[in-house]
Amino acid sequence: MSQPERPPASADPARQVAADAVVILVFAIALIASRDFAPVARWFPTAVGLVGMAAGAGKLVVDLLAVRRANRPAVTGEPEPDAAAADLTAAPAADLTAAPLTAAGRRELLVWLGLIAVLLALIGLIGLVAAAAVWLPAVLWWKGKRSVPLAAGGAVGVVVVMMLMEAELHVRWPDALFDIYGMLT
Amino acid sequence: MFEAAGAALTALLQPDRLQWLLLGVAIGLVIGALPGLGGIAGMSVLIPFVFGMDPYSGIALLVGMMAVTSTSDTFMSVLLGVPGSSSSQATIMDGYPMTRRGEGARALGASFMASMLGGLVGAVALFALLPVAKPIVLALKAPELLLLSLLGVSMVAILSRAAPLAGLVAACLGLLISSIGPAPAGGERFMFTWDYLYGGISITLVALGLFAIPELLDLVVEGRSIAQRPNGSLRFGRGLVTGALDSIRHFWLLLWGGFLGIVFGLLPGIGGSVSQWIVYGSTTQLARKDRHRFGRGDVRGVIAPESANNSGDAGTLVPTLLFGIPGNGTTAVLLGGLILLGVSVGPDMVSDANLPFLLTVTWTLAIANVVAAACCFLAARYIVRLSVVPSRVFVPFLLVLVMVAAYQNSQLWGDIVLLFALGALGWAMKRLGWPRPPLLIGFVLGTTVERYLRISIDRYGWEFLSRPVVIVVAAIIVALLVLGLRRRAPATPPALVREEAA
Repeated sequence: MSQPERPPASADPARQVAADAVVILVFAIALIASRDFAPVARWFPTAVGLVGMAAGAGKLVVDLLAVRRANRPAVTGEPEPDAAAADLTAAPAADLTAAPLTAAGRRELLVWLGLIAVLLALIGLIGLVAAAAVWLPAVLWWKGKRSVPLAAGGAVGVVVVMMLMEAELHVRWPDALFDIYGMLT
Repeated sequence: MFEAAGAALTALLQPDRLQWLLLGVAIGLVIGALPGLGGIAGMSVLIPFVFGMDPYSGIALLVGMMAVTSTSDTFMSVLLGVPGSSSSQATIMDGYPMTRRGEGARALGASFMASMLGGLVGAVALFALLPVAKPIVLALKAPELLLLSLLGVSMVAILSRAAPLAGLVAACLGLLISSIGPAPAGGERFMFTWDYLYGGISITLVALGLFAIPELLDLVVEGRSIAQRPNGSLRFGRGLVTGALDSIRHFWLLLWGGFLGIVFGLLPGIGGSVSQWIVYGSTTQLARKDRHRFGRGDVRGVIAPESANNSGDAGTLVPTLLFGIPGNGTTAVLLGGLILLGVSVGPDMVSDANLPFLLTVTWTLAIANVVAAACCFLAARYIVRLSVVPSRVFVPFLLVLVMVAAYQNSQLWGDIVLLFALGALGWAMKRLGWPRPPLLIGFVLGTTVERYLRISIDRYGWEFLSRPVVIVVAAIIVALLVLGLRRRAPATPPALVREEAA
């Protein structure tokens, strides 16, 4: 568990290069796809695609230079000369930046992605309200370390609130692919 | 006019009408606090009930609800980093970092006070604008509206000062995503045989995906509460008062946000989603010495956008009531409600016969904003405790709520699929340190820019570029871009790093 923390992904120029390549690919696909559009609908995505590819290419060049500098063996204890260039792609001031992801954090992330997948599968099978009534107490008990009565009480509360939202605010829920409730009744 | 204002107030304060106003405020507060549900949802819920109602009571109910959704939507934005509605996205930028620093109550106090005063500024402006609004609104044609939209895009340069290339790429991605679905000039784009995309992608999905999902994932991965410095109940209360005093101390920011909110509210199709970013960006530019604090939990970054949100509601009512041109989706539904009430909107609204009714709208805005702020102040000291609840307890609930909010967009499975797809994009951008607001701005403005550019060229040819207002706004845009790119954000001062680490 006491694994050393990695630097934030934003500081990893290699990942930036990979992301740049993906973005350029997306804009290229958009450019190719926009050739099939009606003429009046084509110019806007074409213009955006071209500007996006140019900006992506510019960022790719800056990041490749940063990768090259990062791989250069340091011979002095002076600050890295690429500080100004790295500033172009570093985490911006006006955003909510992410903390470094540790090995334990990555494991936890996979667990929660799995839990979300389970929730989606349950919604597909029995609908959102029933799925939430099953999934929420289970997650509260397992990951939230809450007692079973408390978790069950929370789930009942959620179902009541959801029913009120449906009745009073006309909110609707994702339906089940298979209406198990209907089959049982 | 003042006599008519007095008559309107007397009419509104009758108990049977006042109760409808309070009911509208209560419904608006609940709907605003739920992520993804905004004024349109609230208006749609209330419309069936106004049929056959006394027009004064009906307008009190509808406008009362509409006026306060942008006050209570702050709870989610500030405490959980989840946009309560499309008009509270910019509040996240500094409100959520304040909560993470243990200053959630202060952020809420500042926000409610700013919302209330911004709403009052809007009501006064609406009163003052009634006689002169017509020539102002009619003077702005498609070329001017195009340039004002581009002014919003130029905020990208300001919001991504430390990463201009990443910001530009993100803005282009937003523009590209906005072009998915039907084109303004006809035809469809980037559907990839998926019928769901026929209606395009909703801003609710983009906002929830970009901001809510990444925050929720990071919270459960880190396994802690949102506020990193748990506080006692006394601190919560004091924080509210401190925040409220912050808003009064930065009164010029309130006026600035209120003024811009009204101006952009007046312009059909621009609305609060855009004005809040313009207000936020211009506020960072106006702060000369310590602008590096923005985005890290500066109370000024909460005050200005919140003031603009509430004053903007008054602005959108001007074209709606005087010309029958709805300024946004909410006022489009409101227009339907007014028809049900038997009210015919248009220039005749400012005639002597209809003036008291029109002024009832102004009074409703003012009273609703005061009542909403008082309710939020009372509720905040309890709701703010959410920020110290362990994330693994409340995130599962919030995850379900976010999915429900996303599903209300079109009530199809595609909503859920897109929510998580955009969530993955937002999470990747966050890990890579790419700014997400430029993507949202690009998305919001993409359709507007395309529509107004096409109308401008069709109607005026390229000569539209020589119109005086166009030249002035273009000069402002160029100046903003140059200033934004030249004054790159400085590295975080060591003192601030220590403060954040504490």
